[in-house]
Amino acid sequence: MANSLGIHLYSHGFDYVVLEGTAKRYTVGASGSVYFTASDAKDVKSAAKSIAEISKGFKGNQICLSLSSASVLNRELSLPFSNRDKVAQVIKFEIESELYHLDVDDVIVDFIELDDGRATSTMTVNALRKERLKTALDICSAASLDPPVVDLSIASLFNALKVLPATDNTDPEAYLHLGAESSQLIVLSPGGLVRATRTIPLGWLELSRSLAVDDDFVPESSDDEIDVDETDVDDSDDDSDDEAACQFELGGDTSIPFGNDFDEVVAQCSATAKQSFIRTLESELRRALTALNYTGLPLYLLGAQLDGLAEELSSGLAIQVAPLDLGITAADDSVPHTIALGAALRAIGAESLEMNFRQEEFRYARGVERIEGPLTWAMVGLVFYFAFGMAIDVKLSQQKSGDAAVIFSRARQKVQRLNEQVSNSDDYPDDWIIKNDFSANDIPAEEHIHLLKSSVDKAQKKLDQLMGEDEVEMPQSCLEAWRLLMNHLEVEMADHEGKWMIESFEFTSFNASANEPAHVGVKFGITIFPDSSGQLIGRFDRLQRNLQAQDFTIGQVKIPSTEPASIPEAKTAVVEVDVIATNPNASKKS
Amino acid sequence: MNNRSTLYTLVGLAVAAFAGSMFAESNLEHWEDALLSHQRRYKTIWEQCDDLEMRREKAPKGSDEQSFRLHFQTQAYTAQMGDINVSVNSRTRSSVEDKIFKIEFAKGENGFRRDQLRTFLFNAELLYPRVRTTALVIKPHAEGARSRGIDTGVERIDLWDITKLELRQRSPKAKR
Repeated sequence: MANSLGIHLYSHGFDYVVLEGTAKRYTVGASGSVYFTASDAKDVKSAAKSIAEISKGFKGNQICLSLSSASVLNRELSLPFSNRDKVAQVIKFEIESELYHLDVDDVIVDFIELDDGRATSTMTVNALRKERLKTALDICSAASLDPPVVDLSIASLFNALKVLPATDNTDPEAYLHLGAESSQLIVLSPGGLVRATRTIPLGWLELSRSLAVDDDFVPESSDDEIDVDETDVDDSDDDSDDEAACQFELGGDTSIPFGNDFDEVVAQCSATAKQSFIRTLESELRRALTALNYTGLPLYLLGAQLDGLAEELSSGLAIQVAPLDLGITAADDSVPHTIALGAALRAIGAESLEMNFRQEEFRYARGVERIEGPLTWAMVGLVFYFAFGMAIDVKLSQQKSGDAAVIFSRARQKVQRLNEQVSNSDDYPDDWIIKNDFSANDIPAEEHIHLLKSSVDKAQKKLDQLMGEDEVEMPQSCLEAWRLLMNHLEVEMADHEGKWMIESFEFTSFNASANEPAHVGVKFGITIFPDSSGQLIGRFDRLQRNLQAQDFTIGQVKIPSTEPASIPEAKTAVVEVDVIATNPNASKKS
Repeated sequence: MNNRSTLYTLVGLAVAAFAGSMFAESNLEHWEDALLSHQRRYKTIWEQCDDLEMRREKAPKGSDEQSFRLHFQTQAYTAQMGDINVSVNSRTRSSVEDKIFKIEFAKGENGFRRDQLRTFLFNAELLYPRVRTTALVIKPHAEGARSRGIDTGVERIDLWDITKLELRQRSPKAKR
């Protein structure tokens, strides 16, 4: 169930009402009044502490703060239109000339449309000092409250009066709310609309002023109570001394002592003071009602119920004056404060005059609105950050692009020089020209080097195919077989240097067959002389054996016979060996 | 334009700037990669071009018989082996075609040193693609004594007669 909180805040304290339910069906959850002591009124935080204690358990943002309409500039204004939005746009300019002692930039302006029977729209315009509004909001903020609506007590009184059932009365009706610091007079038309408003700067706290100076005052109570009261009086004196310490201004007369509630004041004040207060109030009322041309019609009293007030006013003003009960009570049968009730009704969404001073820099902001400012600056920062980063990246990209273009140009020149060699030589076939101009291709410039590389690869592959051997099994080279054999013989006969000689060579290359791989068949004649001791025994066997052990040898090494050479003691033989003579350059060429 | 509209506009701008920044960053990465790629490929192209230039100079410019004859004669001349006669035969197998070159050297009074012959064969094989020596028979040079045969073990100078020399170029059929 939704709760709403109405607070009527003034210099000497605040009244509050908590409503539970909806605008159509609600009950009073809590209500009461708190009066600031002199120490509470010293600063905003102390005052806020009292509010915070009361609102501790309150959850939600349905809060209406009603400020005292005392000392709020009030002027009547006629405009040819009544649409609230349109009026709001022009009202500040219209009222500027009426603000004799105020700067229009120092006030927040709102209005109540009056039902005065004229053809044009008449409105009563209220100009609230920004300073006072700021003070009130600071107090609320310190109490962890952020009321979306701030209106005046006169508007809240109207809200409260709307709880009364509609009547068939054809005459206007006047209502007087006797408050602590001021009294509000509102005249409603037969249609229930506002016809006129007045704020009388006179509240029941005025009675306490006499307490501070009336040293002879002795209340009619027990001795104990007297002692207490004397103490209170002393406190009041202290409070009076601290008046200058009041640091905030909410429209009330801060020369009135702090810390007194209604019952205390009424009990302690003298009959003379009460009579004087009533006379003053009567005088103010008479002047107001006369100005409003409200004569002979009844006046209803709300707010503080001062004994004998209705009768005194009735006889003094010669009109019917009667106290009014709104018919709303709290759970403990106490009567909620009228202005705070009106504010709570406004907060809960009941019919109201739509007055709200949370305008301009005091506009109520929720959720995103609160961080709109920082968010805007953050966005500005982000935009610049990204834009700056983008500019740097673009610049760097241009540099890289330029460098890449230079590299491609040099690579192209290199290929061009190769092409010029082909063009200048009659021996070189024309198809050795390498394509290096890709401007006609619909391909991004950064891809041109890939195309150039492909062209060079193609030319290289073409040359490889011309020179290469990989795809063909080549016949084995007799030259390679010769080299392998002679290398071996040099090593083999190293210990027999100068005592051997080759007589003949016969190399024949054979292709691979089913039985044997490609190889070179070698027959070579060799003559070996005896060594210094005249021995030649086993030399040919050793030659045959070692030759057989070579990696390049396949099959059997044969020495069919050895025969005497033409030189005595030397022998000659023909050696037959098959050699694998793989050209070591073959793999390089392919 | 009120504060909320301004904020929404700025949020829009921030989103656009963020998108632009991301695009610019991506574009920068693209160009950084492209530059690295250019550097690597530039080095490769440069090396390949040098390789091509060198190999092309040495590569045979023709593949007809006349080119081969010219090639062998050039190598024989280089090795100071005099005139040669080159006869060419072709033999086709299943997937390859062989060109067989029988080389006969002019008969002179002097034979050839083995290093002369090796130089000739080395260049003949190296400077023409897919050429191999497939038959080689050499015997000691013995002027006027051939009818009697060779005296084995007799000391002699390093001169030889080439009695048979055959080189062969093998090519795949598709590469003709």
